[in-house]
Amino acid sequence: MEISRKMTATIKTTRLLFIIINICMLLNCRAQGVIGSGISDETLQPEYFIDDLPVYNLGAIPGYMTNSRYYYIKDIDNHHDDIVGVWKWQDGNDFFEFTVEEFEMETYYEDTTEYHDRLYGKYKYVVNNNIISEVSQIESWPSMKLIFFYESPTEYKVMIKDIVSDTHKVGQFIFTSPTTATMVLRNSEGVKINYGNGQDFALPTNLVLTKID
Amino acid sequence: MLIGISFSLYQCQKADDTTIPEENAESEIAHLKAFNLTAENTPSHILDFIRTKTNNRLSVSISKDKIKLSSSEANEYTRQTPLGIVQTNKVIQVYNERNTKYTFKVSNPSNVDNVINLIVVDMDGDIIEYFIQYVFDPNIDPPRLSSGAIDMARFTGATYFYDNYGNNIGSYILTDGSITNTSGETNPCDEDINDSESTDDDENNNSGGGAQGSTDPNDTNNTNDDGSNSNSGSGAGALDNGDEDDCGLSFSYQCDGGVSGDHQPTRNDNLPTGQCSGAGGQGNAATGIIIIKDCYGNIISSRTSGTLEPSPCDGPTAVLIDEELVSLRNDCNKLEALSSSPDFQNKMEEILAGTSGSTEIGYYGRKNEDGEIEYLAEDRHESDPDNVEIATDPPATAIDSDIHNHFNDGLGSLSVFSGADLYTTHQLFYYDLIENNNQYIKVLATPGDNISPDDDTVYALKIKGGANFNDFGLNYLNDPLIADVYFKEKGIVANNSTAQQEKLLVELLNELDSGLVIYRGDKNNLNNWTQLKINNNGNFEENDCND
Repeated sequence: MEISRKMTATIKTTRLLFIIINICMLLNCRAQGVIGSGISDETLQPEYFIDDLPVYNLGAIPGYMTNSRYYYIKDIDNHHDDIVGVWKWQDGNDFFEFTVEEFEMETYYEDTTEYHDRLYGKYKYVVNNNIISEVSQIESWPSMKLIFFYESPTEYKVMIKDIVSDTHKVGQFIFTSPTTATMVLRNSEGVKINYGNGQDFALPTNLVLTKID
Repeated sequence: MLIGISFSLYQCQKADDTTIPEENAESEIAHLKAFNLTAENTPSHILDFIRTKTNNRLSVSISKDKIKLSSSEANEYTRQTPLGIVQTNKVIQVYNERNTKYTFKVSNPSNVDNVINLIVVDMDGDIIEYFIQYVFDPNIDPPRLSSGAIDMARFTGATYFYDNYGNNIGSYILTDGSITNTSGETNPCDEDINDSESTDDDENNNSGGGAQGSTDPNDTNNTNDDGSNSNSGSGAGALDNGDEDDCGLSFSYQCDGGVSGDHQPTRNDNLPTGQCSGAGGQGNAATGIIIIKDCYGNIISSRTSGTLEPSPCDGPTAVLIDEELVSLRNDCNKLEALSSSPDFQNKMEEILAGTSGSTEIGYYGRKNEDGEIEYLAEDRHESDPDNVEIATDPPATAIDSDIHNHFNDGLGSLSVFSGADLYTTHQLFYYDLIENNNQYIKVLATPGDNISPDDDTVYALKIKGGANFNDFGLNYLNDPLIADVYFKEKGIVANNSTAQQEKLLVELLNELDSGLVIYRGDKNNLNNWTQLKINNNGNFEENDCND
């Protein structure tokens, strides 16, 4: 389901209250079930709390938190604004275009309390005016096809699923200016069986991109 | 630490009466009740009894043929005989019309592969103690229930009985839960209970100490909990877990095949506790099982019963096993066996060399006729140059092991198992391509911190709980992309140190009840393995297999 890039203040408030209420209920149920970080000497301190929900900045690693199952990693400094939008690589009639949107307070599953501000996307790859591969709707966990992770103000990790081969690659998205970037993809590490449909990965893997919207 | 709780029936009297052969009939438990206690709600007079007999040390002397409570720091038999400690943090109370039994676990520094239980029997104020020792067969992997708990109903090993004087009086030998041999006596209680107490050793003259403590007299009256046994007529009941666990445990009896040559055991209404009995066998009697289930209906543990002559302390007895310790020893034994396999050593040389190469190399392995794992050439797979992914076919038949390496392609390499590695393990599991989940070992060699070959790492992965691994896999491993996203957001990435990746991966596997266990190896000595885990305090812990 596609949602707008930024929710309105009303929606935000309503959703936040709902989530916080649910968090409180969940906490009551799982008071003894939470296991915190085993790395006590490196415990991260939250930036602030929303009620009792600890809020951390982008890049925080849950394993270093007091409770690695109960947190909100939030785009406090609005870094995501830099990458949100439409990016395009073009070579003649060939182009690859993707759109990035921010989803706030995303979690894994309904019963989990690990919240992230995430960047999901959709894409279109056209060669000689033929659509090679297209994801027309932005989907979130666990059906996402394009996802970015903040690593620094100028660098993001990217993972993209090619719907032609039904395989994915990982890579780096690096800003070369506020409106240009490079994106290089490679396979993810490890042994894979029963993966993909046998077709080759159809998307370009080395791109110079321009932000067009 | 996980404690497996199960019950044994050392009572079922030798049947003189006639019973109707009937397989797998449920037997009634007329008046059996069982409770899971902590030190705080264990009756004070029981703790006082142990403290008094041990001069408040809770110590147990352990030697080859004698296990008994000990009041002295120095062992009375030999200085080499270690002293165990009675663990009072978890106690199982079982009672019937005639007695109440309390099972305590005893730490056993002499041999961690052995489980020693102290049984304290209270018969209307007459109290005695005895010990039961469970020795797991080191060559047999303890069979597990889908929950991952050891299935004591299929216990293979020896059970030794020590009477209230500390003497080894007899034993059972069991194979897959069936008694294959008995020797000596297996009735740990003297017929004349009053004599047994008064004739104990000199240690008992030390009457100092007494209760120090933290017992709650209110909880001595667990017998008031009628609700726990409301369905006793159907051969079932409930374990009261107190406040520790809001997930109640329940139990039920099931009679099954007795010792070879005996008649099938059946419900026997003549037995005070309605347990299983044989019907006129040649000296041996029938066996039965108590099955313990949690509130979700998962079987936690179960135990085959044996039989004994009637005695003052008859009736069911709980078994407390340190399941994690047993699992650790078993995993270590398997890892050591794998490491001594010539073909494993040979192929690991290639895999370790691959960490500084430009390809990923892997093998599927299967046991040969001699029980050693072989990694054959036709089961070898290798990535394209500079490709950190091996996309390969599933094995043609079920495997016992697989090995592979990571390498640094210039963009960094994970020091630990990747999301894709776990994904593939789940695929093998899900499609029944693992010959035996308990035996399966996955081994990985990596470039470590990518600084020099000296920091290369070796890890092994084992499946501890199939049901948990299945759930984990369906949620987080059904697509390598999902696994990669989760690993990334949890900080298991190449640019973190090996130590950080280790901790974060182990924590992730623990948090999600993955059913997986990780061991760190030593690339210079593949016989050295260390379990990596998150302990009950939430801290990262290493358990060396050689300790």
